[in-house]
Parts: sequence; structure tokens; C-alpha cells
Amino acid sequence: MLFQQSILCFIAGLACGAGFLVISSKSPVHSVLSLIFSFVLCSFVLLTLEIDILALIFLIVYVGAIAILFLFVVMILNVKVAEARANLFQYFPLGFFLLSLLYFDLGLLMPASFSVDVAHFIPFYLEWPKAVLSFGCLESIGFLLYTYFPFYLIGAGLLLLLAIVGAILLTLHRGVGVHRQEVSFQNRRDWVEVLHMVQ
Amino acid sequence: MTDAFLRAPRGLRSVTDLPVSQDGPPPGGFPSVRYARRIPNTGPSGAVVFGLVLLGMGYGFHKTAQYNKRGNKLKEEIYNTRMALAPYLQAEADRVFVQRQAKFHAWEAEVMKDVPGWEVGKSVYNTRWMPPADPTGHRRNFLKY
Amino acid sequence: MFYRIVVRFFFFLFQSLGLIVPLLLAVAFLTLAERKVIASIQRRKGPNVVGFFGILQPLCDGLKLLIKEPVLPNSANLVIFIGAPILTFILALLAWACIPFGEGVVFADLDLGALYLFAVSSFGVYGVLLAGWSSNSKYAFLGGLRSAAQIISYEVSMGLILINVFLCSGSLNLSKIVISQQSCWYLFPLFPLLVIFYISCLAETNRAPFDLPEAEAELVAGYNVEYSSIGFALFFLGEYANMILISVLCSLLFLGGWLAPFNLPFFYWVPSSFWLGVKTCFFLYLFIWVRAAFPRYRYDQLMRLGWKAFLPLSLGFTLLTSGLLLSQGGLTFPGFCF
Repeated sequence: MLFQQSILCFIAGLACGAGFLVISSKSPVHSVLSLIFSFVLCSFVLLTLEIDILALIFLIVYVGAIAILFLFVVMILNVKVAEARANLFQYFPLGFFLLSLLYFDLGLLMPASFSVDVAHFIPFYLEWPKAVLSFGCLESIGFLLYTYFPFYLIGAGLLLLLAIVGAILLTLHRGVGVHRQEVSFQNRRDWVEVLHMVQ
Repeated sequence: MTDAFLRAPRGLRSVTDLPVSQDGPPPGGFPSVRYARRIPNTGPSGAVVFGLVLLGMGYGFHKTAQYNKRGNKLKEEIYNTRMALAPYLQAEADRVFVQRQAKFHAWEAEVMKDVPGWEVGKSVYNTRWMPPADPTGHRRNFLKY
Repeated sequence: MFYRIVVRFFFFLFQSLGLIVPLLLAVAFLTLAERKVIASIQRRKGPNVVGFFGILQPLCDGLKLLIKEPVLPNSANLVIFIGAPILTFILALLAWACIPFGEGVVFADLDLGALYLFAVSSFGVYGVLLAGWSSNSKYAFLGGLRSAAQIISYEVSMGLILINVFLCSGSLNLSKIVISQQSCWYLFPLFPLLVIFYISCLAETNRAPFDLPEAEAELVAGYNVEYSSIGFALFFLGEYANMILISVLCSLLFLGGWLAPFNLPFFYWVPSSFWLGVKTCFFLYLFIWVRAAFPRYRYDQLMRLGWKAFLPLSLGFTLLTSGLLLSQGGLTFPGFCF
């Protein structure tokens, strides 16, 4: 138990470090790479909590799609970071206030869990009716999402549809001189009708 | 391995005297290469291929559905046996749990003996009985523990 | 206690080596096989000078790449420049952890094995992207961007096709997917999906006819133009290891993995990894054959194929699969597999 907790703390600490690197890197590409690193560490945190499906979804969606999007934008648009080192200290009071809120929230709970004697946990109550069908994480999510809460699924789908159609509408412009490729017409073209022997 | 080592006849005094070896066509020249298109127009027509693939798909879905149905029946049998046994297993687990809970209450009484008005083992729920919470808060795969 | 740790460590080491060393040998001989097969298709002989029918050619290629001087570009970001091929190679090897070679013969029997493979291949885009950007050359950068965009486009249709397989089998565990193909390989119900999946795999590994980002390396540019020696060797190894991985995935998901074609008692003596090997070799031969036979797709044609042809087709096929299985009562409930 202590081993698991220490691994969790170590990974979470690294993730905090990676988060700090995101905001303090000089090059924006380094920021995005630190962001990717922090996503990967969050995925490991989820693995220590045994939520395997969310860990893999983090890797597939966050690292494999969203961060690639960020990386494309940062690399192509050649975003330059404004070097405003002198003005950073004006955010110090607000940052300190928020951080102290976070610290006092976590700092009161964590020491208590570290000091509990292992032998004296509340004994685990095995409920056999629940244990009869032991679903894994993915099956539990699928079971609930597709039978009892389908409207959340449909709502998420509608949001994605809105995003895709919106992005296409915003960027669609029919160029005047662009030759529109019609693949079915190109495939239907038969060499017998097109080529002629001249002589 | 240089040519001088591989191809030298006995008594060769200089590399410049090596017999000439040239890569060339065999005697009589190479056979002529066919380069004309010869795409055959025979064989099954598109509709026939489509029909065959559809037949294969139908066969495949039928077999898969049958296999899954059989698997579902077997799983249902296992779940039913487990559900039938659940009360007895629960009784055994309850016996073990009561012993462990007694030990936990004894430790709790010892730790909280100086606190006035502390009832050992008082439930925080007032209206109904709830099963004791899992201290890790997230156990799903009960059979693993 | 200490003894147990040591034993476990050596067991882990031997398992990993037993997975990685044959894989590297396979990659090396795949490069030779590709050259020989393409040569045969083009009516010439491939490399046949070095060893017995050219069998030592990959050894010489590897040696040549190792003893070359690694050229590091002047204003390139060195950490990312050196890290990109390392990342590519690590991911190519990492994905092999969940591949079953027989019943129970698997390094890590993950319950979400297929999703793990998908996550590793999503991660693999970064090797290409970072290599292109860190080379500090406009052509390499553009090649890397194109290659990355192509990979993520075809990953979407691959994911949807995987969903069809999961519907039919009822589990994401690769061993269970293979076992549930006992009655009927998924080649039969999902034949059009096998074709689409295979073509998406060709695009995913940047192989012909979708190798526009890679072919530019032969001509002028491409994401690995600035790499020489060991960096290029790692990219090359990573690409071929990815090829073998995806062929193995095709055979596991659609062709029944390590199951024999017929359930004859004679086949009991044939080890199950032999069947997996034969099916993988068939798909690899198809990779090489397609490279030699077809002209290259232009980039906009490639993108159109991925987004406007394969994605709607695989999405529609998902509806068909779920409808057909539901109507026959063939959707599985979760739990064990039989």
C-alpha cells in the first residue's frame, strides 16, 4: 500500500514539474512536449488507480490527437513567446493565494492517510451479489453509457458533430482557380474513348 | 575477397594479367521480353464476385452469431450458479467479517478511550443500513481480493 | 525475498529478450526479403553476392549504417533530433508486449490489449513529427507534417474497424479475440473490412502506394533526410518492426491468429506460432507486392481516400455489423469467453 502511494506521489510530483515546465519553457515546442509528458504522467496516475480504460483513452485522445493538434499549430504558425520576464512578479499574490488554497485542501488529508497503521484498516466487506458479475472498467462504462445514460452519449456525439461542421464551415472557401477533382469521373474515363490514333 | 584472390590462376605474377571477366548477355542473346498488355477479360463478372462475397459474409455472420449465442448461454449458466450460491458465500463472508470488525472495534475503543461521548462502531447512517465502505473507495473487481 | 526478486528479474529479462531478439532478426531479414521479392517482380535478381543467396546482406547493411559518421545538423535541436528515432524504435518494440503467439503465450495478457496497440500507434506519430521539425530543414519539416497528417487520418478508420471486430468477439483481449474465431475466422463476416483495414495499415506505416512523405526522401526530402548512420537505422528498423506488427495484428484480428485452418487432429503437432507466422508472412508478402505493383497516391488523393471513402465506409459497416449481430442474438455479454 505504501509502495503504491509512494509511486503515485512520485508520478504526481513529476506531473507537477512537467506542468511547471509547460508555462516556463522559452520555446513553445518545448512547452507542448512538456504538456505531452504531463498527459502521459496523468495516464500513469490513472493506471495506479486501476482505471485502465481512462489511462488508454488519455493516451489515445489527449496525446494522440489533441497534443498533435497543438504541436501542428505551434510548429506551423511559428508562435513566438513574448519575453516578458520582468512582469511575472505581478501575478505573485494571486498565485500564492490559489496555491495556498490547494495546499491546505490537500495538506490536511494526505498526512492522515500516511499515518494510518496498516493492520487496522476497516475490514473489507465482500458483497457476493455484487461480486457475481465482476465487470472490468470498460464493460462497466459501456454497460451504463449504452443502456441507462444514452442521452449523454448522444449529446457528446452532437457536440462533436457541431465542432466538425463548425470547423469545416469556418474554413471552407471555394477558390476560383482551383480545379475540383471528381474522382468518379476520373475513374470512369476509358482509354478507348479518350485516345485516338491520329495517322 | 578481391578478384585477385578469387579468380587468379596459379602462377599469376601481376594483377594486371588477370583474365578479363565481363558481365554480358548469354550466347545467343537474351530471350525477348513480353511487354504488351495482356489483361484477360474472362472470369466472374462483378455481380458474381459481389454475390460470392455477400454469401461469405452471410455465412460468417451466421457462424459468429451462433458462437456468441452459445457463449452467452454458458455465461448465463455460470452467473446463475453464482447467484444461487451467493447467499451461502455471503453468510461465510459475513462470519469472517464480524470477527474482523470485532477486532477493529476493540482497537477503536482503545484509541478513542479518552474522548468523551464516543460510541464505538456507531453507524454514520441514520435511516438505513449501508454496507461498510471500502477504504480505498474504488474497488470494482471484488473477486480479486 | 531477495532471491525471489532476482529470479523474477531474470525471468522478465529472458522473456523480453525472447521477444525482442527474434523480432530484430525478423526485421533484418524482412529488408532482404523485400529487396529480393521486388527484384523478382521486376524480373531481376536481388542482392545475391554477400552470403548464400544474399542472406548476409542485412548484416552488411546494418554494419555499414553503424560505422558511418553521424552527422548532426548545426542549428537543430539536438535533444529532440536524437530522441525522435529512439522514440520511434522504442514504440515499435513496446507494442509487441501484448501480442499472443499461442494460447497463453503472451508477454502481457492485457484485457485492453487491442486498445493498448492503438494507443502505441497513436504515440508513434510523434517520432515522425519531431524528427521532421528538429531537423531544421523546411523539406524535412513539410515531409514530417504530411506524414503525421496521413497517419492520424488513417488511424480513425482503423479504430472504427477495430470496433467491428470487438462487436463480433466481445472482448478487447487479443487472446480472446483469437479464441472467439474458433467457429469462423473474421475474414468471412468482415471481408470488406479486412480490405479497408489492410489499406489503412499500408497508409499507417507510410508504405507504398501511400509513401509520398517517404518517397520524397528518395528524391529530395522527407522527414528523415537529415539522419544518417544510427538515426536512420533506428527509423528503418522501427518502420519494418511496425510493418511486422501490423501484419501480425491483421492476422490476429481477421485471419484467426494462431488457429489452424481446419480442426484436424494432425495439426495438433504443429506449434500454434507457426500458423501465426504463416499468416503474417502472407500479409508481409502482400505489403511488398503492393509496393512493387502500384503507383503512388498524390497527397490530396490520399487524404480524400482516408476521410471521404474509408471513414464513412467503416462507420456504415459498424451499423451493419451491430444490426446483423443484434438481430441474430449474437451480441455478447461481458465476462469470460468460451
